[in-house]
Amino acid sequence: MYVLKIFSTLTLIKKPLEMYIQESNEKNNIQVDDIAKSDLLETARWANFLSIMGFIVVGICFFAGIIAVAINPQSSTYESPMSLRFAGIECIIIAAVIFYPCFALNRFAVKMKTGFKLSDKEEFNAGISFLKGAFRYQGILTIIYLFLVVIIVFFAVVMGVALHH
Amino acid sequence: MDAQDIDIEENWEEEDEQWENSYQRILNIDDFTFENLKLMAKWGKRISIVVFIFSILIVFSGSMTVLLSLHFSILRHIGSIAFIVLSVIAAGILVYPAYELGQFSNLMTGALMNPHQGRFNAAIQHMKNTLRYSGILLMVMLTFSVVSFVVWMLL
Repeated sequence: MYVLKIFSTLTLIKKPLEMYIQESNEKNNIQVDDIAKSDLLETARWANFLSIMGFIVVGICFFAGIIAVAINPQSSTYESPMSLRFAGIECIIIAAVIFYPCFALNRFAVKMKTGFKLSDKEEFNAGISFLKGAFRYQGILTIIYLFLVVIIVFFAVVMGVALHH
Repeated sequence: MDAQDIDIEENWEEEDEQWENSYQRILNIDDFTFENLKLMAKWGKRISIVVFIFSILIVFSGSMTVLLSLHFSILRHIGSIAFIVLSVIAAGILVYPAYELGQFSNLMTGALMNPHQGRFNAAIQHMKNTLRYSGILLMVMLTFSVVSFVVWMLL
């Protein structure tokens, strides 16, 4: 009798657990098969190319900015030394802003290649995580940029109307 | 047990080993990657919407500038046509990656919500297309810049 009771209790407990495990497995039933693998590797190659080009642009912007800021205003033949300094600071800011997506794309490319080469799940996950970081950063940046454009257009219209009147 | 039975058993063992190895090599999407892919799809959708709006704004602002310029006789007829064509080209360049990114987001969200390998593969393909397009565009722009610089130096 007791054995039957224990058995029925166990089966009652076991059923939901099994169902839960089955549901959890079904949720992540997607695999990175050969098609996805080849596409992801090509994505990694393009990401690597874009990141290298981005790093070059970051480097050029940064050093141009440093030179523009460090240049002596007296020796400058530029129309306005202050505007040259301002342009330099602008270049440094641009370099700082575009550094992270380049870095994240590069990390994604490296991690993805290593992940597939060694069949390393950790590396693969880290690669996807970096790509997500790049997407999120670009998304936030795009929204900020559009917001700034809207504000600038709004003020331009207001100024135009005010000057017309 | 004769020699044939032993051979069959060895073959089975080999097959089991091969199956185990191949199973280990398949990368499954675990909870961590699942969440990251979901977030990527979310941000991808946002970016694509913003870029679509931005491309519409480019065409709209280009047309408005031309209309105002023609009204105040700043631009001539050919100049205004060129301005409109340029704004349409700029918008067209932006629309394709936004479309690919939007497709990636939709398919990835669908594939993750109701597990579907085909949709997942298609989403990855759209993401690849987005990055490939960006890379090709960058190469074209670089080539154009270099050619322009060389022409400018020669002239």
